[in-house]
Amino acid sequence: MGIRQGQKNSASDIPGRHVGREIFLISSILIAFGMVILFSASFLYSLDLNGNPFYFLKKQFCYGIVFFVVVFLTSCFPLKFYYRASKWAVVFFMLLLGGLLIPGVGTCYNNACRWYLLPGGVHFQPAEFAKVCWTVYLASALVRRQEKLASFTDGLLFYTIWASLLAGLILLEPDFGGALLIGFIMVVMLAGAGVPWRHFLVYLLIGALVFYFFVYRVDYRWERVISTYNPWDNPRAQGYQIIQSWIAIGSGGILGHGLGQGLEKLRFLPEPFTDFILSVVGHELGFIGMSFTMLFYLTFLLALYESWKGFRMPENRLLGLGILSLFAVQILTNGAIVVGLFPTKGLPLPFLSYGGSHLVAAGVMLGLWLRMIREERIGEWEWK
Amino acid sequence: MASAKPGENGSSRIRNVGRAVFLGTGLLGAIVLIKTLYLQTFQHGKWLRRYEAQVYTQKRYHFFRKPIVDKNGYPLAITIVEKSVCADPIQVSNPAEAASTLSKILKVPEKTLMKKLSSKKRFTWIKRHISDQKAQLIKRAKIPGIYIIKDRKRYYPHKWLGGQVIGFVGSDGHGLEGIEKCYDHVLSGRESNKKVARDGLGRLLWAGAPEIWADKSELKLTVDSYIQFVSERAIQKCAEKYRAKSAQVVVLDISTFEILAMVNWPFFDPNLYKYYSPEAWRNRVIMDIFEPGSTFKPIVVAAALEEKILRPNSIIFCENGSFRVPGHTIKDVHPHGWLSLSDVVKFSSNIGAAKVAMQLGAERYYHYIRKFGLGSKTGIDLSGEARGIIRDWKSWRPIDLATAAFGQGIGVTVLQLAVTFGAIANDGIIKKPFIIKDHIKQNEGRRIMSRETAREIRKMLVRVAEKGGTGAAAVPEGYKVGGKTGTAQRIDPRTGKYSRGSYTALFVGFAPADNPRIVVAVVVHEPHGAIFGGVVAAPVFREIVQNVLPYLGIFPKSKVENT
Repeated sequence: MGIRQGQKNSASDIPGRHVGREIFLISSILIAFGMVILFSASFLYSLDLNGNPFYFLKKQFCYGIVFFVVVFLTSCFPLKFYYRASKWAVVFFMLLLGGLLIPGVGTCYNNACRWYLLPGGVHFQPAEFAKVCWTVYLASALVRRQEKLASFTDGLLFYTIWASLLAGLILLEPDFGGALLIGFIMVVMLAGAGVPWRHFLVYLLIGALVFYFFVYRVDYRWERVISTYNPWDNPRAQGYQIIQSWIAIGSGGILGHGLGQGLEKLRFLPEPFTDFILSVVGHELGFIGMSFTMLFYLTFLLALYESWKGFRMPENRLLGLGILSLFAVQILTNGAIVVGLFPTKGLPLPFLSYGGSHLVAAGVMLGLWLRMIREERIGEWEWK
Repeated sequence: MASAKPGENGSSRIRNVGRAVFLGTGLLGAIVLIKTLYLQTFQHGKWLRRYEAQVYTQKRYHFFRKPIVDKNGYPLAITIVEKSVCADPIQVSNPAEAASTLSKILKVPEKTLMKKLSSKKRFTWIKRHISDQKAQLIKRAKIPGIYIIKDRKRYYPHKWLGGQVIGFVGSDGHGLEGIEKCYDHVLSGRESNKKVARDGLGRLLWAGAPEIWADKSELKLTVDSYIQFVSERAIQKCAEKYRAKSAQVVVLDISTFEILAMVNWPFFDPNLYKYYSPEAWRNRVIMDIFEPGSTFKPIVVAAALEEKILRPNSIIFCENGSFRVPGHTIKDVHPHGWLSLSDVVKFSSNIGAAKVAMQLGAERYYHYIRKFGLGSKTGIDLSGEARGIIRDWKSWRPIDLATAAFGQGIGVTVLQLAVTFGAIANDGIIKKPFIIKDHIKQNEGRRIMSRETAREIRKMLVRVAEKGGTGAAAVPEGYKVGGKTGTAQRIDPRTGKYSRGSYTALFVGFAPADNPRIVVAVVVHEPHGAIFGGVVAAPVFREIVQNVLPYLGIFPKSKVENT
């Protein structure tokens, strides 16, 4: 068969050809480690909530299985299918995001209406999948319209308007972190696709405007920004989260309080098993656990980067860049938020945080990556 | 490649962007790790202190007040948890409505509630110790600022049983009377502070029981609730029949001198101490002194026998009922001629006893009285014990010596009297009486008369309770007992002189006669209808002995023979 032949032919000249296995292994280890930390962070809370300490662990375990199924299924379809479908997927998810704005349709927590409640108690967060679709769409569109990128209106402005539409819908939920991600991915991918550097100067202007109207003028966001750097001004309200995170991480010391021994998760640290799960790692496993976790993530990103360097096909190179940036931004931003370098945003930590949507979205991205490795390896990139 | 130029261009561009993203990732990762290291090493102590301060709190555990139990471990005083209503008046939005709702449920006048609810305090008791049902009703009413809390209460399950002996606990949880007061330091719960974790909502986490909760000890008395009950029932019947002012009983175990029962009538229920006058709280058995009357005669006889002045069969002329002592005339109730010493006791001749005392002389008699422990505390392990009144012999006039022989001009407590008879029944060895079971170890006796003397006196006292003796009514069926009756005129507290119609009827005895096990002292103050110890007090003795001896395993003789 052609596949076997292709493997033989391209074996030597593709550097990252074996890395797929490592990427899969590292992400599996991270998910397994996530289960342990999740249980430690959630068992007392769920015991208090409904008397079943395994409540969140069980759900996360199911999501974990779904993750692997999704990785497998995603990697089964040829990439050209995704590239072709991506435009319609973006439109579909924009409709879903728009649907969330209709009062009573979405499910809200803490004033944020980001979820559809599916039968069986599953919460579905379209924004997580919109990010992936947006990345795939950009990869296909930017390559297809390579020639037009030199033009300001057909290039940067066109995609910026697209992105503003999508990000605006996410921002209205409200989910500032998700909206920022959409914009960030677009910038990275436009830069990668070869948009002239001078066009990016417009972003300084847009960035200033966005910052002024959507951050500075929106009280709670601005207070969050302020409180990140001055948490002691209001330690019981805006500064509370970051102070609790510092207490959790700082009190952990080098070795930590021991797995399951930390008490910060007892309603002191907010969101101990979703956004601030890394604080629980630092709290209970200390600097040792914290640095191992971070190094594991960096290894994961390094593996992605190494295999990405071997990608030949323009679409794949762009998609790879997008997915790599998405993973990197989510992981690093979460880390920076937890130690108080960035303002608090509702960003889950890939693989570790509780929640199905972001885990399944990560599964889709990983599945796409594995498919890319496979197609690059067998030289199927000449499908055009 | 076909589209070489843009491809090459884009190829190097995307490589650079990818490299920048990766370098940025690595850089930010390093910064995050450095910040983490900074938090976890340099600032570790600071954050750990904050962590401990917010997560841990000191919880004061207060141990339940120890129960008081009787000899057999049956509870006499226990601590229970009951519900109480309290209020934070500042949070009560509508005091008038709250007061009317509460007054309907609690049956408390609305005015008092209104006053409490409109005060400016942050805490006030509405009503303490209410029933669960009422607590439920109040909970359901959901009045803001009104709370139901669990509250400890001292409870006396047998109500009045030994009420004055046990005493009671005030609302602050400290003993105010009786054993509760005397042993407050033993009974009152120890406190211990324990580091307890709490969650962000301030709820405490269960972190295991404090060590002191393992302490299940109790204060054990020598009092036997059955004997106490029997004694109380007997004295109550008598006191009600003769409309007495008050009455006391002590039951003493002779081998150890432990108090088996200590009864004060009228009874007192410590659960409701507020409804009794402080007079009713007094443990009169050890606190009140009175003249022992003829029950004192065995002491003068014992002194005479010890000093070998007389022998049991020595005869004494009893002056046919009227004997002149300088300034006074001593009278017998029934006139007697010549009586043996034993008969002096049996028929309770005052003249006979007075003559014995005069033969002894004041100094020696006084010495013996003191030797019996009278005029000083018995040393019982209770507080508030009276010393009794024995004036120094040097101040005695001849008439004082004579009357002291039959217990006039002398003040003793019921307990002293019981201990005196205990010494006689215990072959002449006197011990400290005690009521806390643990104190049995440190109870060494002291010999105050020879074994022979004690036996002779016991023989005389047994004769008292034989047919024709003054104490014949004290003998229960099937048993032989010994004892002495007494009838003392009471001193009117207003005039300081003996009053005419006011008497104290006494009977003190031991049982069984041949191998005494218990001493029972019965004192009835101001009986009406009959005044003599042999009539009023002796039947009480009989009833107690009749019920207690089988309980102690000593069964009536005749019944055994019959069956």
